[in-house]
Formats: sequence, C-alpha cells, structure tokens
Amino acid sequence: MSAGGWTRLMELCLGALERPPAERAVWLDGACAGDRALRAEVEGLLAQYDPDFLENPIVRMEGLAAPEATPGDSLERRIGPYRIVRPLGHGGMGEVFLAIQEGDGFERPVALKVVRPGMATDDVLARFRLERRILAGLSHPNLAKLIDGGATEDGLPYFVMEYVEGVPITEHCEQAGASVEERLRLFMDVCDAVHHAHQSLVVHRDIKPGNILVTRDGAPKLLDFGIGKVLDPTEGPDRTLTVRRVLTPEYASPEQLRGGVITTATDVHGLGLLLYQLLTGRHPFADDATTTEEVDRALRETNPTSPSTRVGAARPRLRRALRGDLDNIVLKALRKEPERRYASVEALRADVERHLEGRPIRARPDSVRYRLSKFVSRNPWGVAAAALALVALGTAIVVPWRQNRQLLAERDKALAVQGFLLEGFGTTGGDETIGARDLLDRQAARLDTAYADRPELRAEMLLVLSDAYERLGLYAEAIPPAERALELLVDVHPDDHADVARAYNTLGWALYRGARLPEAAALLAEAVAIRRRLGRPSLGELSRSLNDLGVVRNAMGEFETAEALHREAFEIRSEVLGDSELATGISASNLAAALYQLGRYDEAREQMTRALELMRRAVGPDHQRTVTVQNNVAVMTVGAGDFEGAVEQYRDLLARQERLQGATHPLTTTVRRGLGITLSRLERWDEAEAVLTEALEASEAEGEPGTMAVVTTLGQLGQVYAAQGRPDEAVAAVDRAVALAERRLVGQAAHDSALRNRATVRRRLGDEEGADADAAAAERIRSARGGS
Amino acid sequence: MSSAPEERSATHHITRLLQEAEGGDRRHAFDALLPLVYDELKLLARGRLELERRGHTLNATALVHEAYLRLVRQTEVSWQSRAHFYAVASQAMRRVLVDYARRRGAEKRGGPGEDLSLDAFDGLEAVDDQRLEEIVAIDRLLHRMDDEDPRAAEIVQYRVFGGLRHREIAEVLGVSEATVRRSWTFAKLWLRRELSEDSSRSSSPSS
Repeated sequence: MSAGGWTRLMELCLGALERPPAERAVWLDGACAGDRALRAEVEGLLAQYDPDFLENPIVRMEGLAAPEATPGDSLERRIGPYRIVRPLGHGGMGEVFLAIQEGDGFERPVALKVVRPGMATDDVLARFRLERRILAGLSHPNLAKLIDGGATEDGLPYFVMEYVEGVPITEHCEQAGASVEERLRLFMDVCDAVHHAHQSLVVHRDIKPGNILVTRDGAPKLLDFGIGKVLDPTEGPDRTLTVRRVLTPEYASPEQLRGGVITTATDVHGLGLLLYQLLTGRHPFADDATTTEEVDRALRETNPTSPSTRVGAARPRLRRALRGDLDNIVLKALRKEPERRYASVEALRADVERHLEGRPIRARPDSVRYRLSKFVSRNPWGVAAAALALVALGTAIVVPWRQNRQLLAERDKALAVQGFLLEGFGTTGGDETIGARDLLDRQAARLDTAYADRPELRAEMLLVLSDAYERLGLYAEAIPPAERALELLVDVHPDDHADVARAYNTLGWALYRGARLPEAAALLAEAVAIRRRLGRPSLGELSRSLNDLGVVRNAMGEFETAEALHREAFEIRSEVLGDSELATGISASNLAAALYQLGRYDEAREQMTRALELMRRAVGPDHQRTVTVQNNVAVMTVGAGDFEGAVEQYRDLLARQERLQGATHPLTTTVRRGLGITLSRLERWDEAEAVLTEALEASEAEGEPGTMAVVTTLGQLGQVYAAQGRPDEAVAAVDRAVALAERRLVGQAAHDSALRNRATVRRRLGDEEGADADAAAAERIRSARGGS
Repeated sequence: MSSAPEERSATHHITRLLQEAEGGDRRHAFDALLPLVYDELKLLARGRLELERRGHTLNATALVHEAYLRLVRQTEVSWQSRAHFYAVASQAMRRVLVDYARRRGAEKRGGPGEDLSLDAFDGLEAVDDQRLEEIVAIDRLLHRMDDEDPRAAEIVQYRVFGGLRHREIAEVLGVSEATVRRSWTFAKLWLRRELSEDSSRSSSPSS
C-alpha cells in the first residue's frame, strides 16, 4: 500500500462507488484534499472495478450452506399436519409456534413446540422427550393439554399442545383490577394444577407469571414443563447443573440455585413467589436488584420483605389486607430451607382457603427467637434487655452445632445416624415441631435399651438427642438424656476425659435452658475445670464452656463473674479461632453485654462495636447475628446519650432487618420499638408516634408471645401522647398497659415498668396522687422480685 | 480409519467445537477444527483415489460434503454452525488446493509429491494450469492482505475457497452483512490490481 493506508483507501473507494459515476470526480477532489498521489491510487483501484471478478468461486460448497430464509425460520412451513403461522416464543431448547391443525372440515389453532435445530444435543432431546412424556401423563383443567407429538422431516421431535390464548396471570390481575380475594382464588386454581402434577410425581420447577396464562374465561392455565422433573422414588438426589442453566433465574428456588435437592417444596417456593407478585405487584427481589447476581444472591440468602411492608403506607387498605395472615402464608412458602416451607402445595392452598373463610391459618411467623422474650433483665431500657438477651441465646444455638459437626467427623460410622437425626432439625418453626418431636421421642425410647454393651456410643447418642431437644425448644426433655449420658461416661472414664467434659457441658446447658440456673452453673463450672486440666488440645472446647457458664452467670445477675468468663472466652477464641470466626464475634458480643450490665457503658459500647466488626467479617453485614449485634450497638449508643447517632444506627438496622426477616418479625419490631423510644428521647414526638404505632400493631398481631412487647410499647406511646398534648389517649394507653401486665405478666419487670410509665404520665397530667400510688406499687413489685 | 467409537467421539468433538464457534469462542474453535477438517479432506481425497482410480471426477463440493457428513452430527447443528464448518472447510480447501498446485508444479519439474497424490484432484474444476496459477497467486496475495486487513483476507478466503454467502460470513465473523459486503468490494479492487500488476511483472512486489 502506498499513498494511503488500507482503511483510508477503502473509505475513499467505497465512498466514490456509492455515488453516481458523474459525481465521483468532484467528490474525490474534496475527499483527497489535494493529495495527488492518494487521488491517483484511488482512481487506479476504481479502474479495477468489475462486478463479476472472483464471483465464481474456486470451490463452492453449494447446497450445504445456509437456507435463504430469515433467521430462526429454519423449519418448513408445515410440520406434519400442522401449518406454521408464526413464532410464539422460544425457550432455551425449543421454539414454540402458533400453528393451525387442519382436519376433515375443521381447523383449530394449536401451540407447536419443536427443538431448535441448533440445539438438538442428546441432552436437549432427552429433556424434550421428557417434557412430552410429562405432559402426556397430566390432565387437569388448569394445565395446557397435550394433543399430539411426532418428529419433523429432519428428525427433530415436536409436540402439539392446546393453544392457550391469554395473558400472564399478573398482567391479567392488573388489567382486571382484581381484588385480593379474586387473586387468591386464581392462585388456588394454580395450586390445584401444580398439586395435580405433584400427584403424578412431576415437579414443574419453573413456576412464574409468564408460564401461567389466564384465558378469556378467566381460567388460569399452567404451561411449560420444559424443565419439569419426574420424581423417581428410586433415584438419588437430583443435583444436575443443567437445571441451573435453563431455569429462569428470578424464579428459581434457593435449592435450585445451590444445586440442591429438588422436591415438591421447590414448587411451593415458586408458588410463594407468584403469590407475592399477585399480592404486591412486585417481585420480592428482582425489582430492586440491578444485576442477576444480586437477585441470585438475594434468593439464596435474603428473607423477603413481607408483602404488607412491600406494598407500603401509600396503599393502606391493601396493606391492612395483607398484614398478618397473608404475610405469614407468603413468607412461609418462601422460606429458604425447603423443609420449613409448607409440606405440600395442598397445605399452602388450604391455608389460603382458611384465610378466605376467616378461619385461623396454620402458618406462623418464625418462632425460634420468640423465646428471647423470656429473658427479662433489669436494666433501664426495655429494648436493651431483649436485645442483649438475644445474643446470649444465639451463642447456644451455634456452638453445639459446631461441636457436633466436629464429633461427627471424628467418630465411627454408626454416628452418622445421629447426624441424620440432627440435620433435619437445624431449625424449628411452628407445626414442624410435632413431627420432629415424635421422632426424637421414638429415638429416646429406643436408647433405653439399645447399645447396652456399648456405653460410649450410647452416651454419644444421648447427648445428640439432648442437643436436638434443646434446639427444638423442648428444654425439659433435653435434660434426662444428658443426665444419663453423664452417668454412663463417668463410669467409663473415671479420670478427666473430653467426653465427660462434653456431657457436663451439654447437661449444664440443658439445665440452663430449663431455668435451673444454680445447677447449670455448677455443671458448667465442672466442664470448665476438666477442660482446663486437659490443657491446650481442649482450648476450643474450654472457650465454649467458659462462654456458656458466662451466659448462665449473666442470667443469675453475677455480672462480674460473667464478664471475666466472657473475657477469657473471647481471648481464647481470638487466639485459637482468629478474627473471622463467628464464635469469636459471639464472645466479643457477650463480653460487651456483661460490661453493659456492670454499668461500664463506654467499654461496653467499644467492645460491642468491635463485636460488630468481627461479625461482619465472619458472616457479612446482612447476617442475622450481625444485625443482632448492630442492634446492641444501637442500644448502647442510646445508653451513651448519643441519640442522634442511635437513630442513624436504628434506621440502617431496620432496613437490614426488614430485608432479612420481614417487617412484622418480632425482632424487627424490637428494632422498630428501639427507634421509636430513641426518637422520643429526642422529643421528636410525631416521628416517635408513627414508629411506635407500627411497632405496637406488629406486636399485637403476634398474639400471646407479643404481650410483653405490647406492654412496653404502650407505656412508651403513653408518654408520647402526653407530650403531644393528647391526655385521653395517653391515659388510655398506659391504663391498657397496666391492665395487660396485671393479667399476663404479674410480678415481672414489664409489670412494674408499666406502672412506672403510668406514674410518669399521671404526674405529667397533674394526677400526683395516682402517680404516687403507681410508683409505690411498682417499687413493691420490684422488691418482691428481688430486683435492685 | 479410526474405529467406530473413536469416530463417534471425534464427531461429537467437532460438533461441540462448531457449537462453541457459534457461541462466540470462534478463534479457539477454529484453531482446533482446522487440522481435523484438513486431515479429513486429505484422507478423503486419497481414499477416493484408491477406490475410483484415475480418470474419475472428484469435485470439491462432494469432497467437502462428504467430510461434513463424516465429521458433524447432522441433527445437532444449526445453519449457523454449518456456516462455521464451511468457513473452516474453506481454509482447509485453500491449503489442500495450494499444496496440490505446488506439487503439480513440482511434479512438472520432476519428483512426486509425498503425501497427497496429484491424481487425487484430477478432474477438479477444470484444473488447468491457469487456474492453478490463480490459486497460488490469490493465496500469496491473501497472505499480504492479512497484514493489512485480516478480516478482509478472511472474507475473501471464505468467498473464493468456499463460496460462502455474505450472510454466512457475517454470521461466522460476527459482523453485519453490510460490513462483509464493503470489505469484499474493496478487497476485490485491490486483488484485481495486484493480480494484474503480478502478471505484468510476473513476480509479486512487496508493498
């Protein structure tokens, strides 16, 4: 190339050729801008122009190459007796066409699905045939019917389905302005269809609005079993990664995304997502996320915001309709752990029906942590009490698990049985407890006689059993197996032994949970002593015993002892486990709690902040435990008088907590109440009122377990009303709080705090006499309780 | 010839590579495909010779078609994948033909080719000397064009040694048909000029 580079010459030549021959010279004059050599070369090239040159190839692979048709239309216009009209859409492996079936004197539209020519791998063909087989076995008014099947001339399999003319269910509801009840009835029809499939041992696995069309008659039809799975009772767990490739990411269940076992619970989750969208008009995650990774992650890890919260205050009527039952139904269907969802689509449908009929539903909000309300403490902040107690509770849940895992790895195969026993009970909630409990009881009965000649193994199983009961919240049941295990092990190992220490620890913890504190402390102290003597190899276990004993001492009000124990546990864990282990963070948090109880607020706040950092490092900022610790930091920020800082903490926390557990979860309510109380400290009365009112409603909706929270919130709300100059409402609130406390919480901390709150309100309103009476009564109750 | 199971797995492999090429990783897939296709074409040419003896017509279309049938699972590839196959085959054919032309030239000067018998392509598209010279000249010019504009060189190769259509080339290269057409138009101007200069000087000047 001489005068111009390749690109320049090409531009000039093509530019010239685009123009009529008469104009070329003038155009080139301008384009070459006086560069005569360039101009000459361009002209020389243009002189070569010959449309036929090289158009007769040396080799022509004719007859093999691309069809002349438009892309995607590689099919004949007819397939078998069907005339193709137009494409309706395509999925990962197939194309769906609208086709006309022409028979003797009739024509009808059908949907014809055929494997895409380029996609015809063995895998795809097998799946395609599977879908056809699945559909052939199903017959339900809410399922698109299979009409026919065959193969194209190219040998590609196809099948023909009833052509469903309709719109996606969500669109239909929007267009029709369907009421909540109408939406629920449609949803129940979809449940029927899915249930029918399940009865035929088929899981759909891709339930989403686009796969459910509502016809002109208003009947929903479930389409596309493209990634459906035939449940084969003889087959092992299905963990195929191919599933991951073809499913619709926003509508996948956590177990699908993790490559876990697919069961009917997967469809329960899919239906949960559908119901969420039907009720709120939004996807729980996809609408806020910017990347599919975010959606993927949220589906695996984040608990959705409850539908009522999602709908927001702007739609109060809808919000009220969703709050409670429907929130609980949706959230139960959407639980991350398949075994904690509805046991079947039938059960989900039945709960929706119960709701429609005004009968009590079965779904309950997560109940594991309800029990935090049992931890009553004596500090001035009601919020702090619950929050701090919560951390102690958390300790107990995580550590035994770790320990059992370790043991499982070490022990012989027989112990796998116990692993099985434990795995199923990782978490408990509502109605699952019963089945689990039956199982445990059976195991316990068996252990009366089993393994008589192998006391160590038997003891091991008893300890696992005790742990399992403990995790189900069946504290009284957790004690006897641990006692028997300890007896057995002391016989076998008269000297210090790791197993004996473990038995002491397990029994001690069970006794603590059973509220037998002094005994618990004695046994845990023994566990500490043995593990100290066992030395360095038992250091990790020692930290566990120190931690557990610290929790017990804390509960007994022996804060100084508790502080020393937690400090030692924290130091050991920092050294042995490092900074990124959950257990280290838990110990840091427990130590901070003890410092707080001792009134060493600055140290406590500093330590709790450190705990927060550790938790974030160990499990990330949005983990439930991290959020719990953040709550504690907020509480301590209040304690330090930094109300502005605390409000900020609380707001951040509330957002995380709502994402994690939903707007009405008791813990979310605890946070909300904390925010409300802090706002009233700042005398931002109107904001405080709004927040506390919301907290009150949520606590009331909890029923019995929310009683203490209701009393506390009412007391606080009374103060706010009084400050706002709303005396009648103020009195009504505190009166109700006291009445409730007298009925349900006699003698407890909430009782005297309700009276103190009423005293404050009465005094503010000029009722000195009534205020004095309340104050005296509060004092009597407190001293009767032995409080300071 | 390979035994049946190996053949199946080679077929499977090539089919996969084509799907890979279609899926976007063209460079890698092409590099892996070319020797396979080239070997197959050579093998077929020789086998055909043994079966049919001298004097029978052997044309490239049939050759490539046969290679294609042997190498690719028909039901598993789209037309796009086929386009990729023809693109690879074009390059293989270019090599086969250039080798052939050179050997024929060498044979004329005495001494047989060692690998591919000349007779293998007897009857191929009126393989007169003029055509063979053209093949060699275009091949040489394509090497030069590759330095200037590799994409244009590729387009010419697919057009000339495979007869691929613009649409297929666009698919293979992942560009628009208009881009292919523009490159092709200009490349022809350039080629024709260089060929005429070649023939007038009878040796290739370096640019």
